Amino acid sequence: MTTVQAAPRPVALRLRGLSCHFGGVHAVAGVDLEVAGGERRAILGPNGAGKTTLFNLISGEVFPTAGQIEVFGQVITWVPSRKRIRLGLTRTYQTSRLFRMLSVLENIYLAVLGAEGGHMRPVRLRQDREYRTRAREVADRVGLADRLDAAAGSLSHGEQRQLEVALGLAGRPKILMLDEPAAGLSPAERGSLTGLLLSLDPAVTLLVVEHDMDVALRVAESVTVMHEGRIVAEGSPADIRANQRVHDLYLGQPHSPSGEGRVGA
Amino acid sequence: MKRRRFPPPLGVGRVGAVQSWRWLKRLGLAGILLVVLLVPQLFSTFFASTIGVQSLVLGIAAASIIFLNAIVGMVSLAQTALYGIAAYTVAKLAVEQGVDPWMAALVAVLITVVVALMFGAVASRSEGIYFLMITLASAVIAYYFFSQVTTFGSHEGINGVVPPALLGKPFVDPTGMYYAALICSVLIYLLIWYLRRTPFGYALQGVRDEPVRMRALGFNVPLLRTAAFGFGAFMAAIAGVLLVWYNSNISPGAIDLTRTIDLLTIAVIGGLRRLEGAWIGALLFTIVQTYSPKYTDRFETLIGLVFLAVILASPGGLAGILGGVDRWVRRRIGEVGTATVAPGQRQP
Repeated sequence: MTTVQAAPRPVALRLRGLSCHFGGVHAVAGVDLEVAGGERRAILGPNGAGKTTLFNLISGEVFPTAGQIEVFGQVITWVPSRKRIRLGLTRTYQTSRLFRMLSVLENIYLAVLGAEGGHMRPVRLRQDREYRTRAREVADRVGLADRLDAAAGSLSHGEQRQLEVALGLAGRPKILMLDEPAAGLSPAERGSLTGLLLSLDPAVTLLVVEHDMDVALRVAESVTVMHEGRIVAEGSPADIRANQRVHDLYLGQPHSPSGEGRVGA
Repeated sequence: MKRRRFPPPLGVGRVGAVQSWRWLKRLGLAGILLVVLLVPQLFSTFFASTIGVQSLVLGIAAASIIFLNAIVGMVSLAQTALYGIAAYTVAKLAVEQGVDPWMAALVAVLITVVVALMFGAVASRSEGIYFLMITLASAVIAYYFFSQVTTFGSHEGINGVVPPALLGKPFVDPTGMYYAALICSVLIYLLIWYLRRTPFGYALQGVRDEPVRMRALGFNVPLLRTAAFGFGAFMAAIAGVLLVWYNSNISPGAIDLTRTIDLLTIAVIGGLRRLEGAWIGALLFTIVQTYSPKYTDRFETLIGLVFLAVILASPGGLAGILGGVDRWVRRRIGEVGTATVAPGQRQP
């Protein structure tokens, strides 16, 4: 890709002092974060670090106790969840949230329809065929082309995770947030997921919460590490690998220098 | 469902069996449709009226419950209240104001839908058991409203409602009434069949499966739920109009808690997941209700036992049993249904 590295990339997402308390639990406590357009950012952290809550705040499923969220310069702190997709914000879920009784194609079709609008329309029109074509293309990209008619509830775990990513992609996002896309995947499946993420349009800003270091560190150009609702480290994958605090908190043991060759247990 | 020519996988004999089973099903369905179409000619006036008209009308009302449950995932107990509103409106307009029956019916359906949309706008923000409780409360409120407000005749209700001349006198000759109920049933069935394949229909099914994700995908979930509730009310209102024409009167007894439970019983016996279950359940219910007094006074016990037997045999009700038999035969003859989506079948 011939991106002009000299020109500063616009800020896609900016969080200022973002906090979210559930009773006495400070799930997210004063997070400041800036992600540039087209950046690939991994968010790491042990369980309970507040990563998913951070995603819920950005996608609008939970509203913050304090702080501000900006997307492409627009403050969206109090914009309802369903309107955020119009700004190019899509997400996936840690535990698959699929339309279990609908087919794979219908699942992705719904994601396209949601982004395009017009879902109160009680008649079928020509554009629905076009949406289905788009849905087929997305299914093809994530490797579900031969499972189009299968009910989402009948898919294997790996296929369900692929469909999760497909639902995120179908809305043609500018900012794509993936919540542990590799959770429970086999090494082979993780490999193809990594390939898919690397092949994304470079204009798409990617935020990945991931436990699997191989996927996270191969895909990401920068890494944010969270612990107890706060950001404790930020930097390039190499910096993070070298960071002693991160090791103590999260990695537990030194990562092999090559990093990429390691296959998770 | 899309019909496909199957490539012959396992030799001529099996393909033959697959074809025969398909033809057998088509013949069976055609036979049933023929009988349904000719009920007034084939059966006695009593049967056509008491069993025929009643089960079609109750079927439409139960179908509104099943539509909401199977497609949108909302269990509503307000459907009796809604058909009550439609029935009372028709009675009030036709008997006291002398409005033309068709006009009265149109106004009644409109008023019912508007009331349902207002109610739905509030209730649709709750889910599951909470939604169920709110609709139950509304059913009870409607009952007490109509049984205590004197302009609606209090406990007496309103008598002397006459159906449009076109439909004749239901108890003398039920033919007109029967075909009116049949046409309404078929149109509603086809309408929902079409609707579930439109963007609106898919959105409703998405709301049933994953409302949280639907919100994140950009759908207005409360609006979708409200609209679906309004459509359910439209169906219930048609049942209410037919009911009041058929009975020639409406009283609070027709919308009390017992009737609410009856309707839910019909929907569950027929199968909460498939629309056709509504009419199957209504037919069985009406038959038991009509003929059981010959043998026993304990109708409630009897229908309770039928209810238990059906749901123990199949959580999908009678429609689920029929679907199960079909799948069993198809497996036996080798037309293997892989895990493709069977419309309305919830995966366990």
